Amino acid sequence: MSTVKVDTLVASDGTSPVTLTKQSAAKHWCMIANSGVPSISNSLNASSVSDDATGNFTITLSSAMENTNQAALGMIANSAANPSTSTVTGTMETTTTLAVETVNTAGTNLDVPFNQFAIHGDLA
Amino acid sequence: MSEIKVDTLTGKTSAGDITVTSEGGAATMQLQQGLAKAWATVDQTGTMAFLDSFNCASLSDDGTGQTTISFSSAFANINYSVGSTCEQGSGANDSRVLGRQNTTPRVTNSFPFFVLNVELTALLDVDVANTIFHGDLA
Repeated sequence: MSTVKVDTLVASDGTSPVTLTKQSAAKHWCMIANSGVPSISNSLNASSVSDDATGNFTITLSSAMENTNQAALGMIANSAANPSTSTVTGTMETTTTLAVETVNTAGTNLDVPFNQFAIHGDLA
Repeated sequence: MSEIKVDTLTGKTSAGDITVTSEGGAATMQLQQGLAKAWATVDQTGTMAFLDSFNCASLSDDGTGQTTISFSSAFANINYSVGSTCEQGSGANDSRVLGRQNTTPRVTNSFPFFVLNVELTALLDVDVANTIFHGDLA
């Protein structure tokens, strides 16, 4: 078994991203608590979250994605009910913002306590 | 093109911290933070089983549409991020939701989830339940 100890990996030209065979890292993930005011509990590449309205908030990334055509996925959990019937949508409005909306099956916006997202794709 | 063939990459200054450059060259990020720490595709029908998985040790059948995944290596805290989707059958699909069972608090070494048919408001077993976990391992 061989081990390379290194702080930074870049391509041989000194600047381009290095290819990791059979690996692709997420460029963003987060856990957001929302009991009225959303806050970031844990994250990668997230600088802030803004409260837009009940069941609506926007996550701002620290480093921008290359474009808005990235793979954003998410899941929410509402501790008030099991099973929860709440659903979530996420839209990359800009290269640095993911707009989130959480609704119940009646189509009514509501804040839920656990909001989890990840973005795969290319950083700028 | 140069290539290094190696079995293990370890941070020199900090073992768990290797920096990589973004695709566009405008940013850098910590390699370890972006890697999925666990994922699983689970067949809930019949005898519940992993179709494939990473860092998942076992499954428990908690009832119709309800499953608990136990991780091989635990997370450092409960604030890991989960994404999911599910598949069932080959015809027109009803809306289905995969969520966490909320009967117990979140823990670092397992994740209980349910699949709900939204139209019927009923739990159901599905052919493929997909989950992916990002966060910090212990």
